[in-house]
Amino acid sequence: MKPFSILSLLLLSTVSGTAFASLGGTIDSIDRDQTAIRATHRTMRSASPLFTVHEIQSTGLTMKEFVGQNGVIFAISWSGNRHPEIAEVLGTYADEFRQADASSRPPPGARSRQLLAPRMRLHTWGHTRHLQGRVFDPDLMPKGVDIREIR
Amino acid sequence: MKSANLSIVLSALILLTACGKNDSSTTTPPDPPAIPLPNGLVLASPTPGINVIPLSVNGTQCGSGANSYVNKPCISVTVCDPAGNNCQVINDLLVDTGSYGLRVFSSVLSAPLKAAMTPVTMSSLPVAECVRYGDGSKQWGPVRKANVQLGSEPPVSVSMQIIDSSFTGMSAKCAGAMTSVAAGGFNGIIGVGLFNEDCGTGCTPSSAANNGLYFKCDTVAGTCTGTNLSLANQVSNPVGALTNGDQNGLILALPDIASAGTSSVEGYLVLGIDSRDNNIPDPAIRTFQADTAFGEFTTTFQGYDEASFIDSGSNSFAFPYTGSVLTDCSGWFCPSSPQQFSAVTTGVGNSASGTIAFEIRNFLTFYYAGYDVSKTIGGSTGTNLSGMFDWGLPFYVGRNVYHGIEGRTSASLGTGPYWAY
Repeated sequence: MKPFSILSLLLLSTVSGTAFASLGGTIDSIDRDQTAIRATHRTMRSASPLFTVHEIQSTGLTMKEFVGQNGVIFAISWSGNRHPEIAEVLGTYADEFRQADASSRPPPGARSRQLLAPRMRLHTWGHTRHLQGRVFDPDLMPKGVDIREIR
Repeated sequence: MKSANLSIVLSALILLTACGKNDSSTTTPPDPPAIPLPNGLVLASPTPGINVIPLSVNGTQCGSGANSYVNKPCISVTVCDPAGNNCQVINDLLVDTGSYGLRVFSSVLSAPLKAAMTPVTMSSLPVAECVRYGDGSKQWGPVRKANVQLGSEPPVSVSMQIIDSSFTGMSAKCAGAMTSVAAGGFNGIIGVGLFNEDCGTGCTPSSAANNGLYFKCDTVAGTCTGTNLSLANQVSNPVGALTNGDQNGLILALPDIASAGTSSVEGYLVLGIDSRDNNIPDPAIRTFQADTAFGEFTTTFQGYDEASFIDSGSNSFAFPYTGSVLTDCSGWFCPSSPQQFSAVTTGVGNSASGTIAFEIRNFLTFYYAGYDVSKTIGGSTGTNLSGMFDWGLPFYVGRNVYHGIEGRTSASLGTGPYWAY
């Protein structure tokens, strides 16, 4: 495993789009994406030896990508003044999301949502000024990871 | 009918206790009957006050029929153009303490009013906004200046949003935004939470233009690009724009109801805290400070500390749940029998901590009874997961909840952002 210390690539600049590495992608794509979108990317030690956390910051939105020892992104969480474009976060899972989304549109009034599809669990919640969410693939989740750590 | 009887009984009860209180504290001859607010708040006679707005949950202030949903608190406000003309009373506005600023569907506003509302611009281009909510829903539309009158308060000039998914450039920037009153379930949203603006310094010129909320739109080319926007031009909480002392916060006052539910409830939105005779908190009311970045505090539930907020725009309790008793029915809890819980809310810093008892009942039982208001419905923000503890509309039922706006002070409750109850 690549030795990730606290490395901070300060490439603060205008971010025109939000193309983050997506669920099921690899750490290589994170490095590629953070360069492409010129966001700030930090790799953080996690409390668990089972995964590392890659934090990618753009204006008003912080995304965390949870990467297992096999280099695969098994979960993504975010916090900010908006949700990211869900389809971009989902990558190859986007079609599955669209199907589940269409068949379970939440009624008005709720301020949170759980969307359960065979390969993924998507949750969004929050209020204006602080919107949050999380998506993960239960099958990619390393054994022994407490899902409460994914935040 | 059921609910009307309920509120009459409640009003009578409160009026009786209120009169008793007044008699003991003053020797002046009785005025015309005081307007009883729920839960012991009593408006000074003989006038209810310019700062009092009737609020209903699925009642007189709300739309009827298909364009609604359970636990929706509503008020009416008057919207005029910046010159004070072309005024229109808009009802069925969701009272939302989890957002900031007024947003009304374009289809609800008269053509003359829309035409006379001044566009907010950047680089001579009209500004539009994509505002998002916790469930992933979005609203798109231009930002305009309007005069907004709350109750009988002096009108305030604020930026508001016209919700219009057909406005230039939407598809690229805000895909899936609400298209209609029917889709939203209301005529609009009046965000009266703890902040003054819907974005704040994160969207001002000191930050990058790609804040994701505000865009300047080339209406000829049909394209929009990110823009920053001064605080004064951001969509703003109209309560915070008052200048007569009532700008420090607001009170939502709703009477209690049966645990099984009811059809509708009538209460009040009272502007200002400690600014008039009719908005002085009872000494038992305690302040729970929220943080200045997100407007949240902590709720401890089932042994976990969760980030938390109180939100009248959420129509149920929503929290991460660990256990098997609260079964899930399409996102709603549907336990086989009523379940009692308690959680501890703690303000940031060294402010108060207090236990809140609440009950969760079967949503389907409530729903099929034909009721529209409940203090016992909830849903999970993730079974066995971390998340947020959202004290939605059920929290407000049977309480007076005080909302202190950021940076504003009231004599007895302190400086916002805070909740007090």
